[in-house]
Amino acid sequence: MIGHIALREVNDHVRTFRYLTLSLLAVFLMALGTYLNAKSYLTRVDAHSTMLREQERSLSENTPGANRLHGYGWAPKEMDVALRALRAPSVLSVWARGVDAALPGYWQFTSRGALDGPPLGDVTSSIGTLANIDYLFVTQVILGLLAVLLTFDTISGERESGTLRAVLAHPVPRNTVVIGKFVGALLTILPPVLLGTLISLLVAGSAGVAFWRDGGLIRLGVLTLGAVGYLALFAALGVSVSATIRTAKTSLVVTLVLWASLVFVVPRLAALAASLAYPVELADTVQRRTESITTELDQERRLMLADTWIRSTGNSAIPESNFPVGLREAYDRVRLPLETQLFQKRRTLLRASLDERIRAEERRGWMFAVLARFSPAATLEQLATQITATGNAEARRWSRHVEAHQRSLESAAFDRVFGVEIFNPRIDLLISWSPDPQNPMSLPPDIRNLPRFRMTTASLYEALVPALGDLALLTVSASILLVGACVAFQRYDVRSA
Amino acid sequence: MNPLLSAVNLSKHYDDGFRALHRLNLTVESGEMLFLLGANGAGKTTTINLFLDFLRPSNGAAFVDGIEVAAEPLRAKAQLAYLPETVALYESLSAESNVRYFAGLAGNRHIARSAIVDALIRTGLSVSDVSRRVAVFSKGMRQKLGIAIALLTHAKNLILDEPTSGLDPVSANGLMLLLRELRDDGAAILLSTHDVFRAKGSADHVAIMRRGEVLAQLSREEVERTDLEALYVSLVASEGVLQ
Repeated sequence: MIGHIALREVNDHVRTFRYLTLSLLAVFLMALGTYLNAKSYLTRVDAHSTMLREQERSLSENTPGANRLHGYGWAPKEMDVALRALRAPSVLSVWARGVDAALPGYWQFTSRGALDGPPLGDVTSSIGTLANIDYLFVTQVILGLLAVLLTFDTISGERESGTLRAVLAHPVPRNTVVIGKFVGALLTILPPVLLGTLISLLVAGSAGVAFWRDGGLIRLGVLTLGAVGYLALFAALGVSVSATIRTAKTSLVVTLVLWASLVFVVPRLAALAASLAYPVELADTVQRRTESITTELDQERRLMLADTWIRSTGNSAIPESNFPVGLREAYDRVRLPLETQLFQKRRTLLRASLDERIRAEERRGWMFAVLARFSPAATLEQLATQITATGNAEARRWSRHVEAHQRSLESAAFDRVFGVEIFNPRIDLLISWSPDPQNPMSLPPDIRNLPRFRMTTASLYEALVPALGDLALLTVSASILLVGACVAFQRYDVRSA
Repeated sequence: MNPLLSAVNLSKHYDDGFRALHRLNLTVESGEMLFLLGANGAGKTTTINLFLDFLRPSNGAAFVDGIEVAAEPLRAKAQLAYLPETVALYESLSAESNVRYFAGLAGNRHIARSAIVDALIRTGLSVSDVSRRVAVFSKGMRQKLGIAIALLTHAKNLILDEPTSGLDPVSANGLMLLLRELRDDGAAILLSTHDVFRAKGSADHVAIMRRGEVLAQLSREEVERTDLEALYVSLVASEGVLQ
């Protein structure tokens, strides 16, 4: 009986102007969005490949000493191409852009910490707002709107036309009518979803995007399932409203207000509430504080060096050309433990300065993620960006890996001093002596011998677990709405006005 | 003969004290046609709504084939066909698709096209109407299509709400002829109307209602002996209810 009712619904819906218009628009925009995003992705891939080649060239440099670190520790020169974590763009950003294009194209490892590089080159600036159109956006807005427009009057409209009375004069349970109408709407929405998905695959494939690698097809399958779950939720919402309200006009207004609130307002309110609850310092403020800490510690070190020279050498004159080995050893015996202490102090202060901001950002992100789940559109976005590795979770994964690598470089190279530095307070001059070339232990390490940054794509399992959680949330929400519609319809007065 | 449609002390009272129907008792047996006569607000449509489970009775019960409607509405409705004043159909669909859909709801999902054509012809529609969209159908054609659907659901009981209202005399006569045929085939028919003239010509029983109560019930013989129009006017208009 459900199938019987559903098929009539499909038969009725597919002839409507709203269905034909919105379906064609959705399929067209999915194809266009895929084309534009494929272009953007391929441009970013080119930029990434260029950086990769540059890094490999730098690492294969064979000039003696060319690959040795220079200027690390307390010195300022620290922008080696070889010391970068290069991030390849996510291939599935073609379907869900997320934050992929906005994330840094690389992170530079420095003695001051890992610094964000600029995003990879992007063509989106030349296409303006069209850049926001992707498979995800079309599903969220166009197909979501179609789902509610197909269902808002499915019961209230039939009450007004009298057909509801005719239907219920037959031996049909009311729940069957509700479920039949829901299934009918969902079956009607499936063709544009599936056609749009298929066309987007063809467009991306013909543009040269190898989306099928690394479980890409499974990921896109889950994304499509998420889209269906999302549309099922809005179809259930439309049926619920229709089963509660007696006139089609009021149903339309209520459904559209609910749809617009859930798609546009709730995510913004969630972001606002999260930013009010967990204010995050401006990046400039943190930057200024970091510079201030560095300046103060530089000064402290200079005083330490001056004091250490006097204490360890018995106030010997600072050498200008010849640095006796005995004097150097006596100086280093006292200086090196103090240098280590100062490095530790610097790391502690810098991390404390950054940690507050990172913690606030994490709490804000967590609160937003929780509150935004009240919006099906935001839930679908979380699902899509998780499964396509283009969301904040992916950004956090990169941050964690970059930070871990930064720490390994700090202990291997950055927080060690090579050579000797003496501070002459009388003339306010820091005098540097190069490392002893006869003593390999005192030389800065070869970059090729330092730990290499390795980052792999999040495994399918890692991406699937949270995405399936969101899929379950959408499905459960749709089910709850459908049960609500069934309950409301039991009490619905089918008599015409 | 078993009563196919019956009401026992059937009442519908609203919370605000309004009595839409009060202690209605009636019986329609197989091969009988009962006319509910009354002005607007007399309780005719309330009675029909109670037989269709669109309303819950405050007291008493409606029975279809001995099945209490409020207790087992689906079983009861499986024995019923209902025709409202204006037969509501799906405008974008053809007559055949509408027939198939509604007959399917009654459990008859596999009907041969020839059976649909036969039913339409029996009700006075033509073969060419089968595939026409019902959006172009007149009110009379809709009534005929409604009867065709009822024929195809094989319901033994027929409930009609103001079926001749708004029909031209020829169509109204055609409809009454068809109903008499169905009655003669053994159907139990309950029909609400203002149309005293047609009641006199076709009814086996007449119940005159006012303000939710039956004021008079007449058998076929009593209808023939009585000046029904005068009785109706005297009963319904006596308290200024006639509109």
